[in-house]
Amino acid sequence: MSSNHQAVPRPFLILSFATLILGVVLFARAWGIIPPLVSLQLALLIVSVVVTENYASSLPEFSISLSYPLSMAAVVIAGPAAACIVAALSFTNLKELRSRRPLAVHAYNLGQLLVITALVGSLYLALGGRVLIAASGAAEMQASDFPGILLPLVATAAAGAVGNLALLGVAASLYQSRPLRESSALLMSLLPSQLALAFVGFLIGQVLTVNVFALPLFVVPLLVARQLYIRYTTMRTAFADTVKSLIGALEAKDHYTRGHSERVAAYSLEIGREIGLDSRSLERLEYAALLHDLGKLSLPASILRKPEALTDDERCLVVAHPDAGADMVARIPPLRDLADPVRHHHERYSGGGYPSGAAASEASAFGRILCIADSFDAMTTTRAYRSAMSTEAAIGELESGAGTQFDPGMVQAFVGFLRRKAAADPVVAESSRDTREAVAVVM
Amino acid sequence: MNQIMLEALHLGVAGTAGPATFAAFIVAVVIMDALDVALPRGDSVSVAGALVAAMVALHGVPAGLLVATVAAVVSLCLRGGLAVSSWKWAARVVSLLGVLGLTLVLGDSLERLPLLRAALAVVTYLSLEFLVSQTLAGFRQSRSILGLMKGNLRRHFPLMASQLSASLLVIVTYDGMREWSILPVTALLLITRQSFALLHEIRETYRTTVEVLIQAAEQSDTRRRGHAERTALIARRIAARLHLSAKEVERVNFAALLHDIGVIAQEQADERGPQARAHSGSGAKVIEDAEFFGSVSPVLHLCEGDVDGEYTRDDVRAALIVALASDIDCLRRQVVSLVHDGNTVDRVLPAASQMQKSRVVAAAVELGYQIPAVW
Repeated sequence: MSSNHQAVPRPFLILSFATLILGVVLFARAWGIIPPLVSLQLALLIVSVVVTENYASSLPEFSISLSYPLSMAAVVIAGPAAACIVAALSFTNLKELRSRRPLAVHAYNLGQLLVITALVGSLYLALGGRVLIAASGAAEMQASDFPGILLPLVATAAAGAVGNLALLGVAASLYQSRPLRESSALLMSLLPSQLALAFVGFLIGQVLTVNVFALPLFVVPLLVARQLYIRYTTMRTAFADTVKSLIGALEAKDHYTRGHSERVAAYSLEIGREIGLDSRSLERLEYAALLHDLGKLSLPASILRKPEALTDDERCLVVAHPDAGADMVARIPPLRDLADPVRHHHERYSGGGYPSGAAASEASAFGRILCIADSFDAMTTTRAYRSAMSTEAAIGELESGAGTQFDPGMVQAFVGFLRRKAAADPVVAESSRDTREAVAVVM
Repeated sequence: MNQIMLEALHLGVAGTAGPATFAAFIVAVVIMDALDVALPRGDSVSVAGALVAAMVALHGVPAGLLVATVAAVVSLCLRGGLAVSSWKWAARVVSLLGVLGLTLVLGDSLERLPLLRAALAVVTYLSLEFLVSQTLAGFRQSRSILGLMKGNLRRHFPLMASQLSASLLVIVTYDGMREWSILPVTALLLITRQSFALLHEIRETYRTTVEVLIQAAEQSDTRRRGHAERTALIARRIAARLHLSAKEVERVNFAALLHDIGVIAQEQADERGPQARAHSGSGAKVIEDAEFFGSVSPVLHLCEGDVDGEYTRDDVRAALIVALASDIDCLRRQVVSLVHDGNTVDRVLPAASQMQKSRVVAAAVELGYQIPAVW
């Protein structure tokens, strides 16, 4: 695990040194079970881990090392103690060592590697696995070992992947002082590839036992695996870039729409928190809110800013904007699940809204949240054709529309939040309304 | 001849395969095919070729043919998609015939080097599978086969190299583990598949984002329809003619697609009067927060006449290419030039040298484009 944070929270400090001590104890115990046997295969693994470690790829919060399959290979070749040595040598990442990360982070990383490797190595042996290179000679896995050997292999792979990611997640949440579930979303997405890498590690062990000269065959696959982790990061960046570009286009089209989208996003998040959405859902909700008016890109600016009543033709265009926005969003792969909320943000709870008149049972939950947030912001900002309402008046409108225009449960949640906020700081609550008015007028 | 043919049919280094082996390979191929990465235009990429190639190298062409055929039938029954299954099966059969040809050519040579012989079979199979699948895709989509191959070879090469490694790893471990060697190799292939799928999704994300932005820009005026794509096509050709790197060609492509998205803001500017118009139609501003488009942003700034910033020679050259491509399209389609805000060249030229301009124009002339007089 790596991070750029400099201040070390006390809980993490305690965890890191406790993990290191535990790792050393487990390593010593593993040595007692099967002392590592010096062999060409182990030497090759050690050299390989030093090389691969200096090509570790970094995710924003963590570094993912390709030494993991090599330590799994060491488990099957020479047992848990040898695997601990291989895992510990992943500390030869010069970039990491030169970084100014706190000692506690380095201690935790080393401890975590030792703990997981020793435990999964012991599990492998306990479930009937055997080391392929013993004092009596090398004995690769045979077809006759299967399917019996599947249990220790699968259990080791699963335990290693889950344990690794779990410890990483716990440490990240303690170190960065944030909820575990925020780190766990990213980490869970890595679980399948970690499982697969464990099996690649077993294959490395088998190949080294059969024919050491075949080791270079793993160069390309491991490079591809490294690319995989880099692409996980790039995918997140691509997603963020996409949203930023679309918001940039919205801002270019109509300055009010951008500010409006940001406020709707803020209100939507509050509603989402009140009704207990998890962090991943909140993230999706926020993006849906930022993009809910994307369809306005298809509208002439003259309509967007028209102070008088719209003509029938103009109204038809406006009514179509949720569909237009949903179609745009649906074309972009990582945004596809946001199409429904974008489409439904003007539907009524009891049906009869636009574009399709869908009732609550057909509209998405996010769409119902956006409807409330969108309406509240529209009521509390000054537009060219009317002044802003007070917060209390807007709350009154929401409550009178609950069950017909708005989802009653969500209205209750949002109103509860607004009233608590007003009670906590009535001056701020009132002045923020004034700010919205001023900003909306200027735009 | 019959003896040679018989020996060719039994190329494999591992003799005859048992039912367990066939079953394991067929199941693995069906699973890999089910996880193939869908590409635009109905195409797809599978990593199962590695397993078919390994089967051929181990047990000969007939064994490979049996695996490919049974897997195709099972996939068809489970998932449908007769056309896709048929094309895939056809590509595999042609590739197997190619391996058979290799065997006839090799004859008895390399008999003492079975692993090398097996490796050659795998390389032949995977290469032919790529060539044949690209050819079939070109016919189905009515596209230039050579262009398709050239574009996809770079993208697919890591995939093919990884499949080659996977096949050889099956061969190396087959003696001891027999059909169980497929299990860890399948894990390796899954990592390869996932990496390729992510790459494809990243590319699709940017491509579709650009499409949406272009749609937003062109929606305001139907006369603009298609101008961005035509400009990008011309710009790519000019860039390729100038032997620019693939990365640079891609940058020019994106810049050409996005060079007019500033019109999204133009309606606002019009309301504020002509003075505001010159400063507000900024496509670069639309994408300025997006990291991926970071390299495109300077080109857009130049195309919009912002010549005071710091630009590299490559930025200026890219902007010249985009500007010329845009003006060429305007020349061909007068209706576009009516809405285009003057000649793009007037905005870019102050930043460019005469030599840069001459090279870009020369490349366009060589391609047969009519060059606007202002250039």
